[in-house]
Amino acid sequence: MNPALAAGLQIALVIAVLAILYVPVGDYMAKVYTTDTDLRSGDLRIETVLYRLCRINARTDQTWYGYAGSLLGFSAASVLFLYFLQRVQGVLPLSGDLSGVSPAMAFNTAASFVANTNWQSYAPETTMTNLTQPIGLAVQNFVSAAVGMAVAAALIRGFVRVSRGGEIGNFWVDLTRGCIRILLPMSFIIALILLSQGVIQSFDSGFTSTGLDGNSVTNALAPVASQEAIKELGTNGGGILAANSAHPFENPTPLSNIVEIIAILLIPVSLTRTFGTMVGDRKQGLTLLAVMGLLWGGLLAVTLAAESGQRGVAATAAGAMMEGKEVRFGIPGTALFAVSTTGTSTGAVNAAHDSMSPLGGGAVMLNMLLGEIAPGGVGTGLYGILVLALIAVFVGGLLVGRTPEYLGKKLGQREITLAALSVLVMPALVLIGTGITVILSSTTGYQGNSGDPGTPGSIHGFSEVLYAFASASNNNGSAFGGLTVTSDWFQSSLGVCMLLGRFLPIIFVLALAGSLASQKKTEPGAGTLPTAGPMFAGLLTGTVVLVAALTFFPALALGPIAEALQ
Amino acid sequence: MADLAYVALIIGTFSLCALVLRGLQTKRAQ
Repeated sequence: MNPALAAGLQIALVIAVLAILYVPVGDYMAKVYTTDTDLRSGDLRIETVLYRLCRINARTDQTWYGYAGSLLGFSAASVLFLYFLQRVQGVLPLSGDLSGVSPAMAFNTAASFVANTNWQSYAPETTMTNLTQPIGLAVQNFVSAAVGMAVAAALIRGFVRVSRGGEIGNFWVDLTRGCIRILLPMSFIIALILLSQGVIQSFDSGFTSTGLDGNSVTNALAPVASQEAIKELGTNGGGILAANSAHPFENPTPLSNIVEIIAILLIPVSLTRTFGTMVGDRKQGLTLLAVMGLLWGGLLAVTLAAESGQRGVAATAAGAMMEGKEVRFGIPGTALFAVSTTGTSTGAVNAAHDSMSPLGGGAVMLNMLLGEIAPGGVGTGLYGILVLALIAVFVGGLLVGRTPEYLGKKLGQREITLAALSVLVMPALVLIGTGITVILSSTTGYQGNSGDPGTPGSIHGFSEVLYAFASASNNNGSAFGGLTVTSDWFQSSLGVCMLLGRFLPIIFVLALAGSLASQKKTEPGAGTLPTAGPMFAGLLTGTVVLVAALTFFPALALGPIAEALQ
Repeated sequence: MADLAYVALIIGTFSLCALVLRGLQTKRAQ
């Protein structure tokens, strides 16, 4: 099939399915997160049992401070549990012949999965036991995603509620509902669809086969379908097999590839409908969706063009642009997956991103550096773009003399300070982390493409380091695989970036939610900047691009842009 | 020894987050 036609059909199919599911999924999530205390009489029996077992008073709402404290405490306990589980897995049941994970790797992995990053500095088949995978990593796939959605729900309540104490919901209720009512049932359905495509689900350790070269090969088996579903749906990205979604047991057909892309985008896209429904103005949600779609489409176009680019007759004839890509997906299926996985906080990969063209690799890197809001991770995408919307309202208001307010809530010094702090965390982590790493002479050897300063190798080596810190600080998890990240420096620094990149913005966002919730609502007047419609979508898109461009252009110029110009 | 260092790193990172949280709450109360 003509590649352009294949690309068009795949993109159309993804958009069509998302359009069909947008309203029912978005409204369903709005119902789940509409947790006014008098509506909690509808708790499911399993939820009631869980609340009783954990001594949670589900009938009380928390202030932002209590909400954030519960979230931090839960996450800290999760990291410590996951760390020790990996360290002692060798003496626990189902360990096979695997031993405990090294301290540095255990720290990195624990931080990675709790922060919804799922950066993997290990080969799962030969590192994690069949106990650690389900009770450690898979559990975090669910709860870390539910934490992100809970924060988004709390911020929406900040806009909706008028509460003197600034109550924004109950973290434990949001966490439980997100897992039980949204992620579990949807994962189950997606797992069944993936099974129909040939994704494996097995508890056998593996089988041996003979390759074309006559050598014997051991193939690992695992309960892939069940973990693949939440890996994509929860924008986690950590594969149960090292090759991730490029592995034929994880992603066997072009159709399974499309299903996985839809699973990645479904919740982040539908959350804009949830937002619109909860604030009582669906055009607000559609405006945010338009900005997300515009950025996703733009970067997809750049990536497709860069990856399909002709590099001479001989190179094209030899299939040069297919280097690092799976033949069954081709360039369109690869570019679509790459832009979707980096625009969300997923980080699953169906190709070697390190092998992409300089501009294609730069585009997916930029996708992360925009703050992952196109359409962003589950929950993180929505609260990320809402924070940028507040900044756009403030800047727009200053430019044309309008009152800085959003959805009837005034944006004062505290709100804008919190929004700015939330946006600044990620660039600080990326740029400081990359800067320190490239001046440490001991880290040069870990770059798969290191070389003398100014040589092509050193430029790509810089891109690898920049990509690693962009991925960790944005909680993405994908990698330019040429960089070896098993040294203590990378394990520790990237682990800290993942934790701070996740939890500092969450604290600022929850503080913002509390501040907004404690305000009275003001009716829109003649001086109010309209925040629904094409004009505000344009303003918000401009704000997003300008913030990222001004912050990251120098770093990108030293990496992918310099590489593309050679 | 390495275990101690990494546990300290985990607790230290979350303590930093808790300090930020506390700071924001105090500032709001003022």
